[in-house]
Amino acid sequence: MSERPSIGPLSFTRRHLILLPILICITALSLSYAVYHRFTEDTIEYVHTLLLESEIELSAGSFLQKLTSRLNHWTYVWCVELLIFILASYFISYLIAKYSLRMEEAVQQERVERERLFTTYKQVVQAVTQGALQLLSPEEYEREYGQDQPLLTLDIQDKSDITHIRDEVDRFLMERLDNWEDPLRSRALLCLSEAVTNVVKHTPGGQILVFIDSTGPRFHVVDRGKGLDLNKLPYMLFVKGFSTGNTLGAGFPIMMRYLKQITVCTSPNGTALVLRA
Amino acid sequence: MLQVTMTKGLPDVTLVLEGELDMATGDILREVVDGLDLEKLNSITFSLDGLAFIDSTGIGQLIGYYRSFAKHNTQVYINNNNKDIEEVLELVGVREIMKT
Repeated sequence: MSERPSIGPLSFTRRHLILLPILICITALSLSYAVYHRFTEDTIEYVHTLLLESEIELSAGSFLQKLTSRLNHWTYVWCVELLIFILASYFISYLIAKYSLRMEEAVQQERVERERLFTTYKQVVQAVTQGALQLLSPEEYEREYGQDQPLLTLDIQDKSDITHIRDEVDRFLMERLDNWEDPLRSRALLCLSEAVTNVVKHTPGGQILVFIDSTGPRFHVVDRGKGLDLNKLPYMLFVKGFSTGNTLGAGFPIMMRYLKQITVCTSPNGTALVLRA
Repeated sequence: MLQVTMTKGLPDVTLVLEGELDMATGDILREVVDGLDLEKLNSITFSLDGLAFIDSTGIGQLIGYYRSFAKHNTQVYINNNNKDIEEVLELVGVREIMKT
């Protein structure tokens, strides 16, 4: 875990440096405006008083001297108030920076925790299923399959696509694979159907991509859902029929039984299942 | 596509299912089952011998009937001699709760 950086009153952070001038400008402007108002009102009133006095005995020199003294008084008030506001701005910006830094640390800690959980699950899942189920991070998925060009791409939008996809993939592989016959054919289509049904049931939609490897067909079922909850993975693996919106559903035992390998890549932007029949 | 034929009427109904039972075709079966008079229904048997395809959603629908009819003391049976379909039924755990 990363060491928490110390935040002292004099330790400037990046946010201080950005926020401080902005806050100073805003407070200085509002202060100037307030002081200017008070100053003008006061000066007008004062000059008015002096002019009334001048009718009696005030000379021009004495008038200017009194006015200058009044202006000095206002300059002094303005400086003191500006100083107070600068200090207040600094303190506010310091508090904001401290809060933001804490939030950032919490997010970072959450990310580290998720990565740790993911790595643990990945190892455990691989060991328990003897490599039949694999977890990949989005980066690993991109590295492994990002360059592959699908031979067939079909959209998944509503339930009528389930039958359509099954028929299309069946026809497509029938023309290209010599060994596309039962039980491989029926089992692969059943597993594909399970994965596509999950997309229709639980996500706004997705796509299926078909590839042919030297070992057989490979289907990528990619959706635009919220991703799977890794915390529920043990239930998906070991509890028969367990199903919620963010698991692989009740069809998962069927897929685990009939497929050579399932690779799962999930993130908040969606899930990709790689099914090797 | 799914075809549902009623080969035996009330009170002990037999429905023969042919074709594919999945999320896309489940409504066809639902329509037939919803049309049955529950007051007169004693038992219902789903014959799956003619099914070419069933997935976990189709099986889930049959389990749903088993659970909802149990509240009315109506027996639900699955009649199947199709080896591939039977394997899937067992995989999902149907045979642990539903009778043949």
